Amino acid sequence: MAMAAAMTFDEVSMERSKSFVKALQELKNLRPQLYSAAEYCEKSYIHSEQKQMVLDNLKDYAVRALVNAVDHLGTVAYKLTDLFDQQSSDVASLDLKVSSINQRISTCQTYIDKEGLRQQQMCGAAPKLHKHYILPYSGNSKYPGMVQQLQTEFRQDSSEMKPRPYNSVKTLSWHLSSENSSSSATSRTVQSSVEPKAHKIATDTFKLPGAEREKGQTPIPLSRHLHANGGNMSPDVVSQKTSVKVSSHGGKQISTFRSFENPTMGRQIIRAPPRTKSMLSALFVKNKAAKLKKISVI
Amino acid sequence: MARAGGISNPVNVGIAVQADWENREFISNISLNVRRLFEFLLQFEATTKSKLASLNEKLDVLERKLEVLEVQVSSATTNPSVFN
Repeated sequence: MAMAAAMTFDEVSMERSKSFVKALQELKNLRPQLYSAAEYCEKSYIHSEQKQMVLDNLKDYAVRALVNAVDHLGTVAYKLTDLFDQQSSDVASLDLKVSSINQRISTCQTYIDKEGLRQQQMCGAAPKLHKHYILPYSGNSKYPGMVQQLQTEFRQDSSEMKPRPYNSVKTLSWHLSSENSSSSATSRTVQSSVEPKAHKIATDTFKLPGAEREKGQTPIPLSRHLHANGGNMSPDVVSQKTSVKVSSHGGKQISTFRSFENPTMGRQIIRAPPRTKSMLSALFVKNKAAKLKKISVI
Repeated sequence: MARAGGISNPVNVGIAVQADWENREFISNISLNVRRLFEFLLQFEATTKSKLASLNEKLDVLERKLEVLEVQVSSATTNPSVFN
């Protein structure tokens, strides 16, 4: 289809040029015709006896010749103008194509220059990233899986003995190692005393008043009771204070959750337990806060 | 008869003069239209010349651009290592 359209466009342009040439040729042929007609009229007026009739015929022929000449000139002018417009449009399209090619080449040249400049620049090697989160081998198996993996990575890196670019920066590994070293000394003594207390407190606080406790049955957890009642809790249950004492460093008492007693107060800030406390107590506090937050939303 | 011939002579002369005047008027009209045609041809020639000159200038500029592009493309094709 494109080839056929291209051929028709060329054929149209060829026909236009042919018609212009033909019209121009016809206009050129008018000159000898007019000359021959003028000579014939002169000879006939001289040799003829009816001069008035020859004169009248001459007047009519002159008028028609003039009209014919004007018609031919108009045709030639129209065809020439049409051909000129076509050529102008072709030149404009060609100019657009050339400018597009020029733009592409300039873009390529720009990229080449930038690449050459980059290659020729005298710059050092790019800095390498080093592993920051490497825990030293502590021996405490609090997180056995993770510690083992990190230990293997640490051993690999330590075997390579690469100097670190940074110094005097306390990374996460340092903090964790310090935590492990401090917690290992005290957690053993505290953990044994805290864990049964925490377990007892958990069982006591989640014991609902008025709930009949059958013999041999474990107390119903708060979450299950919430789901059973559809979230409608009695204020007595919610207003129970939950406190967990941790005797590691003087024992800080966590503030209570009093959203239902004083709804305008909003939720009080629960302080995060210090790092020396056991993880179980920390999780206990966090779960309680999450559940009570759900109660306030409902 | 002589008087009739004498009377007819001025009439003939008058008719001849009138015919002459008509012929002259006709000739003047024809010449005027020919001059108008000539002026049209002159104006048409001037406008066509200016248009052709501008087209020629555009073609010259295009030709120079194409020559530059041809040189750039030939240099690019002869040195393919530049693009590596």
